[in-house]
Amino acid sequence: MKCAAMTLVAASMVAGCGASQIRTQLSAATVATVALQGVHAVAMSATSEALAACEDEPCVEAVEERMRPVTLAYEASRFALAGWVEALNIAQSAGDEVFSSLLVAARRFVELWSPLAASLRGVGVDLPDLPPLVLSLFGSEAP
Amino acid sequence: MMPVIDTLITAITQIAAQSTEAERKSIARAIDDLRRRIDSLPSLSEDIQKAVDERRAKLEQAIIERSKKIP
Repeated sequence: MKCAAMTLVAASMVAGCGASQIRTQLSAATVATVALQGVHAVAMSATSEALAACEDEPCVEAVEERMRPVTLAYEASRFALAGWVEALNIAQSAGDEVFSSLLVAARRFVELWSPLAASLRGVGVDLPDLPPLVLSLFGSEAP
Repeated sequence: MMPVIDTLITAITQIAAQSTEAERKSIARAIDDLRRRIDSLPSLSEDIQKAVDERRAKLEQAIIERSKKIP
């Protein structure tokens, strides 16, 4: 009987731990979403500024060309973020065994941050590092 | 003694199940909220294209205006 009670307590603790991990990932994904919204704002600001200085078609084309890598990097990050949240949704339905898939999905988003920052540097915009909450998901093995 | 323990375990099981279910629903709601937020993230390619098209239209308009002034 004691064993049954201990199993019950242990089971509820495990479930709580899984929920806590999902909550942490959910917070990190929310912070990442806000960061990506910021990227859109700075990229649009840089585009508007560059276009305003254009007086002819070649200049407009050059701005369009310069912003293309930023656009691709942003859209890739957006899709990675959506994939991460879908993985979170699966994890909360399926349980702890799919937790590792969450980290894979989160890592994909984090790995895309550097190319995104590099593409923005190319148009003169400095993107800050991802917030510590997002990077802390990977411990010392942060991408 | 045994029926008391059984009742206690049943009660603990029910409380744990209710608590887990409430937590699961709360997380599901938070995921739905975040999903909506991500879905509403603006498309940079569309917005840049729009800004470029607007600038092109202004430049073309300026060329038309200038050509009208030439006698």
